[in-house]
Amino acid sequence: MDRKIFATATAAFLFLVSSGPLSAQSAADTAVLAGPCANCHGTNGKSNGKIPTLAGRPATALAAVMKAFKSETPTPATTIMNRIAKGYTDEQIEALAKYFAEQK
Amino acid sequence: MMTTKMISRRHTLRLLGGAGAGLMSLSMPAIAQGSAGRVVVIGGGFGGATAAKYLKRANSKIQVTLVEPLQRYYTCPFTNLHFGGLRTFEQQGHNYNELRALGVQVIHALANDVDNKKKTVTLAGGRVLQYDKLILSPGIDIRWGELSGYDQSAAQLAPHAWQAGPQTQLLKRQLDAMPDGGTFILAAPENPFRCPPGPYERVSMIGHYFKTRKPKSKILVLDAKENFSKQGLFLDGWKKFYGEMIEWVPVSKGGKVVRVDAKSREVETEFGKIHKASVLNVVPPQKAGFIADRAGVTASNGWVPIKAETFESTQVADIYVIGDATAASPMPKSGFVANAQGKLAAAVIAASFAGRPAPTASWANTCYSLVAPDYGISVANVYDVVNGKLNEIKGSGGVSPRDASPEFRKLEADYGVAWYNAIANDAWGTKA
Ligand SMILES: Cc1cc2nc3c(=O)[nH]c(=O)nc-3n(C[C@H](O)[C@H](O)[C@H](O)COP(=O)(O)OP(=O)(O)OC[C@H]3O[C@@H](n4cnc5c(N)ncnc54)[C@H](O)[C@@H]3O)c2cc1C
Repeated sequence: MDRKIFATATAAFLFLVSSGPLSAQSAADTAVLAGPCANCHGTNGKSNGKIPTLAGRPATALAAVMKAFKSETPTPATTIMNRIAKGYTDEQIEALAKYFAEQK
Repeated sequence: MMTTKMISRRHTLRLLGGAGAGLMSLSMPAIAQGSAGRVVVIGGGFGGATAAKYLKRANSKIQVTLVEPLQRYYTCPFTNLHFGGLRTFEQQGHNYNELRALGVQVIHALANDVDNKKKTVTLAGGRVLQYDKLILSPGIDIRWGELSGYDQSAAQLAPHAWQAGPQTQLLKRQLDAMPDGGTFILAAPENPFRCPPGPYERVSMIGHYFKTRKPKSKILVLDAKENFSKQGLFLDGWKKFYGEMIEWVPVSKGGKVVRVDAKSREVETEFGKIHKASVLNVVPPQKAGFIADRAGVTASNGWVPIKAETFESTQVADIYVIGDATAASPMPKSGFVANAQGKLAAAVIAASFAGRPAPTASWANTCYSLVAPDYGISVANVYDVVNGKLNEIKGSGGVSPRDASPEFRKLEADYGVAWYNAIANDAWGTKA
């Protein structure tokens, strides 16, 4: 193996080891997962209309709301999110919640 | 803090492999020039504009060229509300200023040809663009002549208005000029076609226009299908708001139009019956935009087969196809889906330039339709890939409940507008 390639690979590896949680859900995966959310909630989850903003809200709150949508007893004013939330695993919901909490 | 144990083996291997591949690609000429790779995007509609923007967001060093003949693009979404008298035509117009500000080179020209071996795109006028990766989002072309009597000149008399622009304005003028007591006929095609609920939202909105302006008029939908999107919800809504005004004829009852006489505004059905319209709107059979043919990515059925994980063509490497041009069932041909596919293709290409593996694919769709002012309905779905095939996630999605309250329908009408403003901002940067 080329020395330079090896060094880069090692550096990248060490970077990952020391940076943030890594589950099956990588950062790139989460960005893709979050892609369609923007179509209603706005780019980066910042709404320009009546649909709620997701950006910058606490991850725990976002995850709790999504899980409530997914449950058999969603909040009374729910129209569409109960149908959409059922398409995501709890692990994906956690990742999405963290992603939008970090958006500015 | 992290421990090595928490890193999956798969990720470690992906990463080590990826770093090597990234350095290898340094030999590419574009990268030597300080670019992370060259992408040409053909088509600046829902799919193409989104893909161009999200490529720049992923890595501003990617050289992105967008080829789109129109200086101002008009969306099909919400043109039905224009027919209903609820919006102006201009409200559906968008420009490319935000993409330019993001560093996308926008060229207003038609792409005439693609050489998938030399990796070049030839524009009308002869200019040649070189690409490392090509994204095609050309939308639909009409299969002229497939429906007997319906060619380009017929469309000047009996518009399709299934591509927004002069066709939309022509149909609006005809509706405005129609005397009260006239008959509007819409001929709806077989699947697959652009926007499955589109014809039914259109007659809803024209129903609203007639009800408020020309109440003695009639609407006849002649359908080549037995069922349609959000059918129960539409039929309920038509009865509630428009009484007997809208009649829908399925294929089994003689709904399929087999011949059009645009001059006399008559259509003949499969059962041999002639219907005469005051205003005739033919939604004709469709196929992928012609440039997909030129690029060698179209299948014999007229649509473009893609690899589910990446939306790369199954037929030609380094050409990604998104939006209505694709055969992406169970996803519908919607602007929402075109946008979502555009984001995935952008992420896949950015990862590939960086020598990383493609991210895990995921998409969603939501289509709102307006049945009457303050009365919206929706269908939603979430998609992933299972065994190499596009998959609608079981238990997710579906349509609005049939027994919903007026408050619910009002919310969905408002959310429809909010969706439009959000996606227009996401794709073209248009401010609400
Ligand atoms: C009446 C109606 C209502 C609709 N309502 C909704 C809705 O409410 N929600 C929804 O999600 N979807 C809706 N749709 C569907 C939506 O319009 C399409 O799914 C969407 O436009 C597909 O995006 P696209 O990028 O594939 O194609 P388009 O948006 O059609 O973009 C294609 C672009 O490519 C350009 N182009 C084509 N060929 C070339 C070439 N050779 N060189 C350069 N440029 C080229 C064209 O000029 C065009 O601008 C509706 C459609 C209709 C007809």
